Amino acid sequence: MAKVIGIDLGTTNSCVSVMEGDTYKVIPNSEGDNTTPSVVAFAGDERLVGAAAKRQMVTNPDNTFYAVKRLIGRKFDSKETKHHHELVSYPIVASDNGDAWVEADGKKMSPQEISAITLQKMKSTAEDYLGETVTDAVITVPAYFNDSQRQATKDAGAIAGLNVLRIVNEPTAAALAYGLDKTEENHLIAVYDLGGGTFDVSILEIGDGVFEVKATNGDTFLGGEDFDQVLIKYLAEEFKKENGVDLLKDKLALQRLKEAAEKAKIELSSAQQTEVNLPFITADASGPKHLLVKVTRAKFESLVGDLVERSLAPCKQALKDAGVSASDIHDVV
Amino acid sequence: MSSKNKKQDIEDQEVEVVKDEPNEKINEETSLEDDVLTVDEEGEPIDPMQALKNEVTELNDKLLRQHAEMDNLRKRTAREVVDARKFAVEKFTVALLDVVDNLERALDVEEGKEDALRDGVQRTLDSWRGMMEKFDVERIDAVGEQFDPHKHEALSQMPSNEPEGVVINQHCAGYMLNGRLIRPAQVLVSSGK
Ligand SMILES: Nc1ncnc2c1ncn2[C@@H]1O[C@H](COP(=O)(O)OP(=O)(O)O)[C@@H](O)[C@H]1O
Ligand SMILES: [Mg+2]
Repeated sequence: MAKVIGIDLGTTNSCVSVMEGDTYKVIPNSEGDNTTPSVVAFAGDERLVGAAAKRQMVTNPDNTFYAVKRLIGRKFDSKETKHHHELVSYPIVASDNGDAWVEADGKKMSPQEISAITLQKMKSTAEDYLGETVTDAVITVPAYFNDSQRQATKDAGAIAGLNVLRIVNEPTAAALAYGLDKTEENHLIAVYDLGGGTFDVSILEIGDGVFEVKATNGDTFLGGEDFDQVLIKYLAEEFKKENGVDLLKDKLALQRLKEAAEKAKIELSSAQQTEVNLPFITADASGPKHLLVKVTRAKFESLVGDLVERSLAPCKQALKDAGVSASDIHDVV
Repeated sequence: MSSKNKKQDIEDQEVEVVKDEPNEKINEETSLEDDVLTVDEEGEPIDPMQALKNEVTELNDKLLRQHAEMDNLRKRTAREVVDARKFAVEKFTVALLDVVDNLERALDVEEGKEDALRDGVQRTLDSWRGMMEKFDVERIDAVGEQFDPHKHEALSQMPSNEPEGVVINQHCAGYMLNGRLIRPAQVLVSSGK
C-alpha cells in the first residue's frame, strides 16, 4: 500500500508528514528540521531549496524566490501582486495571459513552478525517511483560496511529480490536528493562523466529523515577521537611549538583533518574561558595548498592540460573514 | 448540504477521505465473506474452490505487504534512535556557540578597555547560566551547607570556626542535570575547632 504524504505548503515554511500507525508523524528534512523554508534560488547552475536558498538571499536577491504563495493564481495587475512586488527583491512579470509570474535568470516562471521545487524537496524528504518512492499527496491551502489558486497548487504538485489526491483547507487540517472533529454536536470554531507573513482567520462548523467553512478572512501582509520587526525596533531604541548608537545601521549587529528578537518572541509564547542579552553587540571609541533588555510579555503585548488590532478587523468581518457572534464560538485554535 | 458553493464542495470531498477509510475496511471484510458465497456480483455461479484460492492469494499478498511495511518501520525506528544519539547535543552545542562567539569578541577588544571587557564577559557568563537553566542544568553551591556526599566531594578537612561537617570553602561548583548529579561540588569541610 503506497504511502500518502501530507504537505503544508506555507508562505514562509513548508512541512511534510505521513501517517504512521494512527498518528501523523512530521518528517524532519536532511538538515534535521521539521520545517523547510519555502525559498528557492538559482545560483548559476545550482538550484537551492530551503535553508541554503535563504542563506544566500543577500548575495543573490534577483534569483531568490520567497513567499511566492502570495502570487499563486493571481493576476499581474491585481492589488495583491502590486503590494507584494513592493516588498520583494525578485522581478515579477506578467505571463502571456496576464498571470503574476516571476523571472529567474531572464526566464519567466510561474509561481507554481517555483512552488513545485519546494514540493519536490518535501517529496524527497519523505522518500528519504520512508525508504520508498512517494507519489500520492494531500496538500493544504488557505481556506480563502479560490478555484484557480487551488488548481495552481495542484499543478505545482503535478510538476513536482506528485499525484495530488486532495486539496485540504489549512484550518480544517489544523482543527483535525487538534482533534476537534471528535465531537457529536455541532460546534463552531475559529481558527486563527498567523504565519510568517500572512494572517488567516476562518470560522468552521463541525458536526459528526464534517467540516464546513462558514467564513474566512485575513490579511496577506500581516505575519510573525512584523512582530519581530516591532521588537527589533524597540530593542534598538532602548539601546540607543542608553548608548547613543543606532544598531539598525550596523548590518552585523542587526543580524544578531533579528535572530534574538525572533527567539525572544517565541520564548514569550510560553514564558512571562525573557531577557535579550547580546554582549559585544557593537563598539565605539570608548570600547565594546553590550545590549541587555528585559522584555515582559505585557511589554511585548503593548508593543504589538497595533498588529493585534489589525488582526481583529478580519476576525470581526469573518464572524459577521458567518452570521454568528463571538460568544457562539466553541473553540479557538 | 445542498446549496453550497464550490469551496465547500471541496470541503465535503475532503471529509469523505476522513470518513472513507474505515468504510473501505468494512467493505473489504464483508466482501471477503461474500466471496465464499456461490454467486458473484453479476449473479454468475462461482467455483467455491476457486474463490478460496483467490482469497488465499489475496491474503498472502496482504501479509507480505504488511511484513515489508513492518520491516521498513523497524529500520526507520532504528535509524531514528541512532540519529537521536548522534544529534542529541545539537541544541546544546548551538547554545554554547553563542558563548564561544562572545568570548572571541572579548578577545578582540583592544587593550585599555578592561571595564567594558569585564562587563561583557560577565554578561556572557550570565547568558550561559540562563541557557543552562533552560537545559535543566542546576548549579550546586555548597558553602555553609552540611557536607553531603550525594552532592559534594570533600577535597580536604581542616579546623575552622564552623561546626564539624560544614562546608567552609568551595573549589568549584557542582551541577545536576535533570535532577541527577553530573558533577559534585568540590569542597573543603570543617573539622570543628
Ligand atoms: N512558538 C512560537 N511562538 C510564536 N511565534 C512562532 C512560534 N514558532 C514559530 N513562530 C513564528 O511563526 C512564523 C512562521 O510561521 P509558519 O506557520 O511557518 O508560516 P507560514 O504558514 O506562513 O509558512 C515565524 O514568524 C515564526 O517566528
Ligand atoms: Mg501556515
